[in-house]
Amino acid sequence: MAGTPQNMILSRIRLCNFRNHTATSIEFGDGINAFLGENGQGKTNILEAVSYLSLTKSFYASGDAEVIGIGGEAFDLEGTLVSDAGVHHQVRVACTRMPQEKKFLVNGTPPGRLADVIGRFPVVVLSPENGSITFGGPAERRKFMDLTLSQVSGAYLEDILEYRKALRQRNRILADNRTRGTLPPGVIEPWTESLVAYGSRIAHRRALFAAEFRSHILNAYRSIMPEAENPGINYLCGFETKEGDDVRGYAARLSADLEARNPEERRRGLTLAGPHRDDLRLTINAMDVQRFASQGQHKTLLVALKIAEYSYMRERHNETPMFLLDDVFSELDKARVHRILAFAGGLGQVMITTTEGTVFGRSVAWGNHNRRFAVERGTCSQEA
Amino acid sequence: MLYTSEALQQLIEEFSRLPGIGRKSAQRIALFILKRPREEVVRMAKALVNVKDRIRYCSVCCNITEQDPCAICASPKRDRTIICVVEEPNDVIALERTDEFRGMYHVLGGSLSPLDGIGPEELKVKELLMRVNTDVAEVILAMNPNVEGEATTIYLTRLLKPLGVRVSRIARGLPVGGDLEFADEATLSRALEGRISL
Repeated sequence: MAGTPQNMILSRIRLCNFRNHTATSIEFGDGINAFLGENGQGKTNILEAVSYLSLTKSFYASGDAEVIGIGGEAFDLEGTLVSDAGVHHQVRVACTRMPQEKKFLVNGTPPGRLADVIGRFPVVVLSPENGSITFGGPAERRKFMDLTLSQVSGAYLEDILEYRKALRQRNRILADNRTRGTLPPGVIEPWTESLVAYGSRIAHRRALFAAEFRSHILNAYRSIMPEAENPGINYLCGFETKEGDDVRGYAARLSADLEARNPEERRRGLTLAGPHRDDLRLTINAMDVQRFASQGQHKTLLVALKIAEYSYMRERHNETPMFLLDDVFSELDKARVHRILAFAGGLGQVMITTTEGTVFGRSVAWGNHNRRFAVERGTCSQEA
Repeated sequence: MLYTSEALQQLIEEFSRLPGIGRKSAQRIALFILKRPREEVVRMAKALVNVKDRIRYCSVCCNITEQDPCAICASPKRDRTIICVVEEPNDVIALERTDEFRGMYHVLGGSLSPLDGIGPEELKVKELLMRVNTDVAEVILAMNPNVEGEATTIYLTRLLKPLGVRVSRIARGLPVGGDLEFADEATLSRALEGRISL
């Protein structure tokens, strides 16, 4: 079917020994795919499997061994992804428990590194756990930026991975110095220089991201919440910066900041400036979300953030992302659910889990394009 | 797992300690050895011991060698004004295969990694600085293109520059025979960074 431009979709998946799915095969529609069932039947596990094909891991913080079915020795996932250009890709993930080993194959060949897969089949996930993006600490918001930017830019992902390594090495030097009290001259400087090189690129990219993201989040918020509330997003850099700085400017400032904090760093045995201390400030009508927002505002903002992530990635990526919505309707009123569904209907492939089939009402026309599945005790069957 | 022979079990355990050899491969190799004629196995065992007994480090470049100084350091054909610094003996072999480089080497024995307890003291850094005298015109740093290699490059540059020697690093970038369009973004951006004027 090459030549007909469309949205990237996952056309089918096979789960073998994956959590409670011993052998499940699913043929997806290219629009909304709804997975209905009681709690604990295996709806989320299906989205988790999709996440494995795209991100090489679960969107939950679970290890590979935990998703292997109870009593099983290995899981095996296989999916067919059809790119925007209509090219078919067979993606397979197989993982054994003893020894713990994960194999990732795209069209039968392993990628150079797992990191090379990130961004090839982009995905946006909205799950109850994501609540921590608006409620939780800065680490959650950094994770949000990293997951979005890594799927858009391989260079960014590379910088993040290298920065983390350089940071660990530098922290070790500072920690050793604190316990032993000796820091030979010239030992920490190379790591500081590396940290500054990677860190300045990361911070510059994140600042740009926050600026670009602003219009996306505004549009997304308006699409589910027409009332006159104004969401805002601001990048708070983990070191002194000035607006309008380029990468070199960032590097000079991070370098100066580290220099100034050197005595304190030695005392505490930790790196105290850099993008590992970044945050995003989220606001509604210029008020801090973390401190002032209501439960409803939190949830609405979270959904808006994810819709914005979707539209941001769609704009910047040559593949249309898949959108995975895990149990998101439970705390939202009917009007908002309706608007989200209307919005989702205009996107590429969307996968939704819910215990409440009635939320769809008449908003979705089921058939070949939009499909409904019943999930029960580790099985999944399409409903008419 | 239980084997019927303790000797066999011991051999399998020794083999499975080798890099890239898992338990199954170790078992296969051990059983293969069991089937070989005794002379062949003795020859192999001797080769193993010889490696430890005969090989030492060259007092000049710190590479592994049987005679000191090593064949490269002793050769009158090599250009003594250039020293190429590498992490491991493997890297010397790789560079020698190119048949391009006619200078001298210096093997550091690794790269800086505080997490693994490797600081400048654990590497042959002092030995390198001792070698850099007025006869040496250039030091080429050929570390691995990773975070630790990068830090080592920066560290050595800071030490060598004040000695008045020319310090260079090998280019990072695209593999020969590769297509530009298939290069990953990180490699491509490093290649752009390290572009040369024509």
